[in-house]
Parts: sequence; structure tokens; C-alpha cells
Amino acid sequence: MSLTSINMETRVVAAAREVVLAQVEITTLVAQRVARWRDVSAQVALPCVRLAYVAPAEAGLHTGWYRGSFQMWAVTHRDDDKDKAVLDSLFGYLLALAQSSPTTFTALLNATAAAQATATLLDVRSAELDGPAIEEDDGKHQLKGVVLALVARPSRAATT
Amino acid sequence: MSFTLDTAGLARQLSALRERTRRGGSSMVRYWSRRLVRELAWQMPMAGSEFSHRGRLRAGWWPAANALNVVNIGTRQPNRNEGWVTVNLVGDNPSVTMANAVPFMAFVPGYPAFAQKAVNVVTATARKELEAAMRTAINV
Repeated sequence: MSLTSINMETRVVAAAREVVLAQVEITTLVAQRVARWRDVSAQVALPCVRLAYVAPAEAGLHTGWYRGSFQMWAVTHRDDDKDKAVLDSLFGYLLALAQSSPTTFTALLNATAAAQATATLLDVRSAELDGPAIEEDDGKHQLKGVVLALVARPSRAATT
Repeated sequence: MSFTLDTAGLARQLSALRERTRRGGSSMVRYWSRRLVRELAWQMPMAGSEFSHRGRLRAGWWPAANALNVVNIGTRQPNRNEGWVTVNLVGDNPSVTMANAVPFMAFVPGYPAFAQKAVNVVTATARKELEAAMRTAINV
């Protein structure tokens, strides 16, 4: 038997990265620096966007569907962005992208190449804002994150 | 070492609020549990950014948050099997029991006041809603 990994975080982040990189307003600010949280494959350069899909759990009784905390973080260097102009602007674009839900953002995610590739199949049902934005400052970096409840499954079969 | 939060005041407020609003018991318990788990997470102290486990105390509430469909508890940390929840919303006595089992919590300065503060905040919110409901009833 051959197994296919259904690591939901990888799938969601791969699709979301494509969507974020397709937004000219965001790439103007961060170029290609959009990666999953804890990605160490490239040297960290700022400003950047970090993506995470945390704590996906089975969505109620709908076996095969997962509901998790999808987070899009704007990150800037504190000394280079003291008035937070870039941070707020970048966060604003991420929020605008997130608020195009419930249909536009999910449609964008479903239309990505990653969501349709066999190894990272993804079907996103809904992505809705949940709670307030999170803001952090560790003295070196400043971060502002938008959090969505994202329901998805690792398949595109017609029925589940 | 464990500590149980004092929720008697919250229960009193919710009981009065329910009598006033005639809301269903299960829906009421679920709604206020959602508010409480969010508040509990937000009141957890955060370590400095130099610690890789920053946000782990908040992540201890993931099992409860997942069960109540809350996804924003202000952390990127996953849960490390450090919490549990029992949701019983069927029957005459609906209840939600949630626990955060992060082992070092008892050694964090301010324990357990920061957790009790969350309950107090939600109790105060419930009291305000009760007052609003009573004002509406007497048409002030």
C-alpha cells in the first residue's frame, strides 16, 4: 500500500502562498518573501509574510474535513519601520485578502496549482475571520497577524 | 499541582441572565464557554521572544478551543497533548469542563491569579449583559 501524506499545514500553506504571491500590492512590499512559519530554507529578510495553519482538528462529525487556525502574519524590522507604516499597510492588504471570504478567497485557494496537484490536493470550504488581529513586538521584529477559521479537506473528490 | 477556578459568581450571573432572556441552556453554556476559553487564553502570560516555547500556555487551551470551534487564541504554538475538554450539551444539565495541563504553569509568576482574572472578566461581561437585559425589560 502506498500512502500519501495528508499534512494539512503543508497543503494549506502551499496554496495560500500562491494566492498571496499573486497579489501585486503585497509583492511590491515583500517581493517573493512569503513563506510558512519556521521555514529555514532561505535567509530571513524583512519585511515578509509568514503563513501558518495551526491546530487543524476534524470539523465536527464531517470526517475528512479539518478546521484549523489559519494565520497570515505581516513581519517588519522594528528599526526600519518605526512608525509601523509598512507593517500596517502590509497587514491591511492581508486583511483585505482575508475579508474577500466567504467566496472569493476560498475560490482563489481552490484555483491554485498546489491545490490541484496530486501530492497536495486541497478543497477549501470556508475561510472566515475569527476574533481580533494579533500584534506582537519582540524588540527586533514587529508582527501583526490576521486569523481565519479555515475548513478544508485533502481531496477534491465529488463526494466525501 | 492543580488549581480549580472559582466559577460560582459566573454561574450565578449566567443563571440570572438565562432567566431574564429565556435563552436555551445548551446554547447559553456553549456561547459563554467560547467567550471564556478565548479570555483564558488571552490572559495567559507570554514568555520573552527568546524562548522557543513562547505561547505554550495559551496553546494549552487548544483542545477546549477546538471543541468549541474557536480558532483564535493568540498563539502559533500547537498543543503538546497538554489539555483536555469535556463537552456535555445534551440534557437538563449542560456543561463544559476545560483544562489546561501545561506542566510549568504553576511556576509562572502570578499563578493562579491570571487564570482567575479571565473568569472575572467574563463574569463582569455577563453582569453587563444582565443589566442591559433588565433595562430593556423595564424600558429605561
